[in-house]
Amino acid sequence: MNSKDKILENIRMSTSNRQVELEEILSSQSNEMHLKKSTKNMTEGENSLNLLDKFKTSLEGVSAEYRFFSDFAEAKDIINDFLSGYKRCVNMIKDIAISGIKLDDLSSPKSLHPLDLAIIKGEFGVAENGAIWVDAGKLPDRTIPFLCENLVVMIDSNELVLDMHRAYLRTDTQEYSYGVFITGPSKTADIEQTLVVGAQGPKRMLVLCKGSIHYGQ
Amino acid sequence: MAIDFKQKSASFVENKTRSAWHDTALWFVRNKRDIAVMGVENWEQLRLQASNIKTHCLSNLDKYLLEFEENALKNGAIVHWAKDADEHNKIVGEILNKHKVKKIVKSKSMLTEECELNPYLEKNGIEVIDTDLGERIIQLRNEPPSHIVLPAIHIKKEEVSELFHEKWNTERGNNDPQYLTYQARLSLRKDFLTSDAALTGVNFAVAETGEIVVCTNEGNADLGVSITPVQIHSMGLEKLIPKRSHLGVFTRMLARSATGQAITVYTSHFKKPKPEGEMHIIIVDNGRSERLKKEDFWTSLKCIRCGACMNTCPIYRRSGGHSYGYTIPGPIGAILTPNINLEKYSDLPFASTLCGSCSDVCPVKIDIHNQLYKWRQVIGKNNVLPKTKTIAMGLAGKILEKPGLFKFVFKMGRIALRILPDFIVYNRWNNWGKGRKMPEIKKKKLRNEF
Amino acid sequence: MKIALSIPCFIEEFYPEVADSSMELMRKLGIEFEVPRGQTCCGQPLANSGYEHKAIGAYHHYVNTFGDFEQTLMISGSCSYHIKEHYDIIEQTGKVKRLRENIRDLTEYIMSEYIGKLPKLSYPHKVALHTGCHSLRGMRFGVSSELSTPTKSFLMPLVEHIEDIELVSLDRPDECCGFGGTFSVYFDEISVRMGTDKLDDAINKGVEVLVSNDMSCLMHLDGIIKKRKLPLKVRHILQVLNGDKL
Repeated sequence: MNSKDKILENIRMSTSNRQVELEEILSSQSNEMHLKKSTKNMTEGENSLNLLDKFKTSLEGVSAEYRFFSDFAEAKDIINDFLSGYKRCVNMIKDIAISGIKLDDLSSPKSLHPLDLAIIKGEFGVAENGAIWVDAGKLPDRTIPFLCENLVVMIDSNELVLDMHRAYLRTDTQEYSYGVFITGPSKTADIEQTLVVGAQGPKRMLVLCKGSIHYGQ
Repeated sequence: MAIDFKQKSASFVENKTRSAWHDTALWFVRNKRDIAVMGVENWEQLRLQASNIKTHCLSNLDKYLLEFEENALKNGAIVHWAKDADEHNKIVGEILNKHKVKKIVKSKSMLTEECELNPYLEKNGIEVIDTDLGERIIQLRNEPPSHIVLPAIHIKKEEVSELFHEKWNTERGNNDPQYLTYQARLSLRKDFLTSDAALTGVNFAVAETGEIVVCTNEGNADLGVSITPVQIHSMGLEKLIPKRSHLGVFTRMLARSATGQAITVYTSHFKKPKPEGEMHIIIVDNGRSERLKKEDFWTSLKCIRCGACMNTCPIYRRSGGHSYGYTIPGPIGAILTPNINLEKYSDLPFASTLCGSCSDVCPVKIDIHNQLYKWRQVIGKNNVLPKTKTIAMGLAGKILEKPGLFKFVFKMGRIALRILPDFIVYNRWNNWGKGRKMPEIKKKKLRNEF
Repeated sequence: MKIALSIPCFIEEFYPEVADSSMELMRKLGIEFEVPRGQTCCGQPLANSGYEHKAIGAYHHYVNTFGDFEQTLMISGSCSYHIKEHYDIIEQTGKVKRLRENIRDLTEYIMSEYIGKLPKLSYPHKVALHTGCHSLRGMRFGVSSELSTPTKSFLMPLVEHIEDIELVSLDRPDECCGFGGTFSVYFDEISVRMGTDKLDDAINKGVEVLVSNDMSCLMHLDGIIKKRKLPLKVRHILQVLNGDKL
């Protein structure tokens, strides 16, 4: 018998009188609260203004910087303001007129190093924690958001959900090979619980919010 | 050799400044957790739901493992099954040999610590670099982690500075955590750029989609997996959850319970290999399916390794993780280890006051303190404890059954306490008396009133 | 209703004054009770040491002593918790079931049933409260700080009856004191450290007296106080409610 069969046989020997049915879980209160709400459009405390405020507070809490822009020329200025004097850059947003490394010329992801700046697109944000869903599998190289020293993620500020329950409903319809919720620049507190921003991934992160209710979009 | 928790914890707590520092650091994390949790509406219902999902999944584990495998294969991953640590290590070794890998970067994985993968690979000529900062520090010091989320919580920044100076010739005496972290970053960058494979642990594996989820803060898992052609994910078979929507429950709880963050910086969903890359998933049993059979103890498999029970445990905080003598210390470690070796770890279930704080803080509602109590009974019944203790307890049992005998013994004890000089009561055999006075015997007897 | 008072073994031996005050208070409140003869011990020390199977005799003796009463009140949250929680290993006869259902911690009983009848008192001292962990997290009297619902001590109604009491909250109000029964003897170094930390927390806040519903916690803490000659006293809450002067 191979290991797989041995393991499965052993599992089947354990008693099965501990059933909690899936339906039971789904009908339990918190799930009902979260999932039923999300099937409707907006509910109380969940209008876009509230979501944006929550999202901004969350970003501050995770040491991410954020700026709003109304056109792409402004976006370019904001990025140059965020980081000046960078040499090597990858820009995945064509509308922003910043030229970067030609990715076709790369022999391996390792030749991306060193990478001062990466500008990528985020799909949507999560208000309760500041997370941004990035479809990293769609990038020409998966290494880009993690190898760069400084990361700019552009999102549409109308694309926000309240919490992780809704976030997963949202990604359910998407086919991805490698998706990441990115929540601020990389961090560690492994030395005496002192927070240090900039561990192995980006040292700084700018969330570039396209349009906003404040801009009347 | 049995783990001598008493001796180890006593020597840890003897250094008052250091153990107080350790206690305060972890209490600080517990406080951060409290604040994060209070900010979530219906936290207690979320706990119940998480616990129910795990119950459901563990009661149908065979079905969900097969569903997971099927979907992972569809995604293009290669799935392996390992019945124990040896088989796991062998599988990893074979994958690396096939690709002629000489150097591998690892992100945090308690499972590979459990399997002792690093020494196995090193013996086979493969260089292993732990890339989580805390793990890197203890790897350089050649010691095991003392906490599952904060592996280097027992080490002071001065010691890290000394270590980095010795290994990497960093500035001597610079104890600034930011400076030290950046020095480690520079060193680890070189390792990422010169490795040929990456290995990660797994926080959640989703049966419905065959994807695996890894939660980290440093970016090391994503960097390693993206930059190398071969990715390996080692998962304990209990990491499974049925549906993708269940991730909503667990990602809200994990980081809040662990460090007081609302979510980890990176919550990474690895579903398909990169173009021209290979993705391996190793499903590891190593005693888990045996544990699943134990009526009193199977719920310990619900654990999502947040470490909250360690941060809250008043004994762990004052004893240090190394006193437990196992990769997973603290209350959860004390209920996992007797499964592995009852005799070796027989001290651990007793290293608790059964105060219940661990059970209340647990995001998946494992009744840790009850399981500690139940393990004590298993240990007592199996005569794992010293013979002298067994005889004494048997005698005590007889005394408590018989009020006459009970009174007589207490009376004798009373007289003994009154007439024996202090130096006998407070000698080294009397553990109570070392740090405390004996309670006073009252001359006036209550029972005389009746 | 036939009510029995159960006096834990260590209280009878070491703290008879606590039992005396408890009985005095019960009489004042008009609670009629008996103290059955031949009480020994609920068996918890054995069971917590892994010798539950050797405690069965003690369990039966306890059931025989108290099983015929409609209500058993015990001067301990921890011992009554043990009976409720762990007497499941003996045959669940009518007597056993009745006992397990109807046993209550005397403090909790008075706090919830006699709250209105408690007399107004004077207790001009700086006091910190300590709830035994078995009462807090085992019996769920009050709400522990780990839970997301607001923290609550079931000893709080005390304040309503004492105008001049000064209540101080500790930095770690519900961290275990380190007693834990036989834990305090097996792992005395850690136990004493936990107790010392609890006492330091109180002393740093200028507390004069630490008040608890569990005398076993206080026995351990008082041992440290006496050994280290610390400026702090311990009292059972029933002593305070009975109007005993400090």
